[in-house]
Amino acid sequence: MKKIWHIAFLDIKIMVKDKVFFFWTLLFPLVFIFIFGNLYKQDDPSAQQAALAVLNKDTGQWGAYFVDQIKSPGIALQEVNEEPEQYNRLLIIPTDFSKKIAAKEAQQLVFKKRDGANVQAAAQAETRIIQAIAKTITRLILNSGSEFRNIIRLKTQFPENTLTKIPSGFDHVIPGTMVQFIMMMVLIYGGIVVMTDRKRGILSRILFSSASIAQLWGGKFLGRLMMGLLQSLILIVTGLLFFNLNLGNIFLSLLNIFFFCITVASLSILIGSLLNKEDLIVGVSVLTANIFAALAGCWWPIEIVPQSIRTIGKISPAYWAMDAFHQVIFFNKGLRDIYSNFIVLLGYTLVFTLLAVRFFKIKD
Amino acid sequence: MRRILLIFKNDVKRRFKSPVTIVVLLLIPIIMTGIIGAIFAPKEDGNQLPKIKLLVVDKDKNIASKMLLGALDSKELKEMFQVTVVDETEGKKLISKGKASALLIIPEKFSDRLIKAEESELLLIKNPSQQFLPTVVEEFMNTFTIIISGFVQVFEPELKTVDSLINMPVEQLSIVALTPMMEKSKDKIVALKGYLSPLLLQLKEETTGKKEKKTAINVFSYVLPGMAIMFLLFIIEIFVRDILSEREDGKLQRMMFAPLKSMEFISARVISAWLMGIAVFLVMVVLGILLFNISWGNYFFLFVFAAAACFWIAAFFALLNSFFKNRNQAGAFSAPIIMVFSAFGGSIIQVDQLPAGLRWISQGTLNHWFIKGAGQISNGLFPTLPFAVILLTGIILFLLAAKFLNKRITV
Repeated sequence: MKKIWHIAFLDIKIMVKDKVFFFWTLLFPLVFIFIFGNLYKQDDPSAQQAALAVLNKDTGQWGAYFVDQIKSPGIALQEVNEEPEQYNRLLIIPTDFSKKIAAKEAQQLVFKKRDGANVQAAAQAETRIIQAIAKTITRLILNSGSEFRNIIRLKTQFPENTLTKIPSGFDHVIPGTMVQFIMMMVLIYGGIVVMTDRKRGILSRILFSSASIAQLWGGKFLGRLMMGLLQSLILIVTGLLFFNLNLGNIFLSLLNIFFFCITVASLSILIGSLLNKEDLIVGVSVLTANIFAALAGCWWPIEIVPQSIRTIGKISPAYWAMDAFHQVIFFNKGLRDIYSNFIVLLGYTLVFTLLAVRFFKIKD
Repeated sequence: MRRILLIFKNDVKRRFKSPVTIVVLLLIPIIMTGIIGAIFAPKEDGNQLPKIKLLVVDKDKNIASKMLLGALDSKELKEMFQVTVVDETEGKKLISKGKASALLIIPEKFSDRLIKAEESELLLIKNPSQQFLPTVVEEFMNTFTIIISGFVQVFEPELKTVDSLINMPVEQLSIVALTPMMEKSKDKIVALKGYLSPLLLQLKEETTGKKEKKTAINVFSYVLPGMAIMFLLFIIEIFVRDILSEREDGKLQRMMFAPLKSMEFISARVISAWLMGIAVFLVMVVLGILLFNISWGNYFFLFVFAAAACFWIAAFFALLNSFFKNRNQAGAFSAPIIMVFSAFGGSIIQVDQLPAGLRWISQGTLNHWFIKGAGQISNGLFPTLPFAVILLTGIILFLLAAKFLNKRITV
């Protein structure tokens, strides 16, 4: 075991000593987390507000009444006196709004949306305007001066025994980024080291020592496992320190990381054994990691992915790791709910290991 | 010039002997474009989102819940929601496993309370692992509650009469007594018609700054240029890195014994990387047309513009290589630089989706100008500004590279 540990530790040392180690393992994932975490931010109500500029040209009572009905915590409403040059969404209430209402004459309110502006915020603003239309028409029909009253309340909550607070964008993004970067780092660094060690004859020299080939293989495997765990550790600590990351049951989340890392470790040895060029290993690793990450929902919420692609995504080991993360973090599930994910990851590990053993060479 | 061509010919021969790396790097943007396009392209029915799985527990089983379920079964909403009616235990079990976006529970006596115009509550249990779809359900339900609340308020007296009639023995029913109420209802319905047919207040949507309708084809057209420029950076960097490998393995020294000026060598390296970059880009263009039916716009404009971009990349990495000591250092630093360019320049995520404070960074990246220019070309315009920015900075980079590389080579 000491020899296995020694070989593994040397591989980790090579990785950490790399000049850009911290860029790949910390800075670049942080850029990802920061960008995508802000993009999918949900925890801060003010961040969820949809900006809506309202140009109320009407001087009668109904224009002002209508604007009042739009106001809600989810809308950052800005009343303007003329059409602004730049806006994301603009509602124009025409000059004869009240007059037409009094005459019961149908009219159109122009709702302008800037192409490229946030689609979700546009839908939020549009829904609010439709609700304001419903309230105003009700008020008109009642015609008795009585105000609109919301008779049905909608209470929302999460399932029992799951979350008590709305998960932040970072809670969604960090596990995805972690899964993606475990793949990138372990496949690239791990694959290249296996290949260069073989090419430079380092593997042969190790076998001149008392280490057996099984110990050599074990050392390489452990080294890659440790690379994955190190990458996860860096991101978990960063997530906990700066983004208030929620990992649910920490033991199960770590167990999930462990199973995913052993899968990627075996794939890394396979890639390093099959390929002979550094650039090629980088290319294949980037391609593999990105395809697996995209199919598993590491980059975007899996719910927006069409069902057919979600089904195809199950071929990605990252899918099973992400699913286990979702079960643990968002549904507070236990081991018996996610053990099948671990079995699938173990299955992948077995297949990759068998192939890696088959193609593992001491020298070219 | 003859010597430059000789080096270029030799490079092309060498690359053709071992093309796997370049082929893999060329495939990445194509495959990624395929995946991203397949996910984000609008579907045939025009929806961008998949159907939202909504579970409904109907504990009311009366007129109001039937109305709601009927509305959800309408043609328009069927395209948006996939509704499954379940019992409460099963519904809670499914939502706690994340098998739907939301679970709506319609309470017992929901219809009775509405008829009496008494307040009632619908419960919506949202899937905590989903970020968007439960919010869509919530907004829809909020709108529904407002419309129904309005309806109940308008017909409150009539609904209360109906309620009293329900509990009244048949023999006590008096049509005569009901007539005034029915007359009043008729008046309301007539008035209501005036408000609802046509709808008194309608919303007319307009999209400003929109060039063309979003289709599946132009989702690919948007994604591929971003991916292409990202991987052109990787590919041309590999070509330019030959400067360092030739220096490391002594080939450069041997070449300098020949009647070859250092400027000729530098120009040959940059030109070789530039031309091979253009060739790779042309392959991407053809694959884009064949696989994704992409309309790139004017091909002459595209060729000129891509040539400027490839020249920029070759000059940029030639300059960087004048500072790097060896191949490993070049590989280590170039990749992070490319990834930062891509992350902030719009290859990985659209620039306007970046946090506002970070958007200015994109202006300093080639990716930003290339994506902008490619967009203009596909709209039939020549990208004057992006082309000028890329060409001028490219020339400056080349002059700097020539100066610094010259020193490195002659030392």
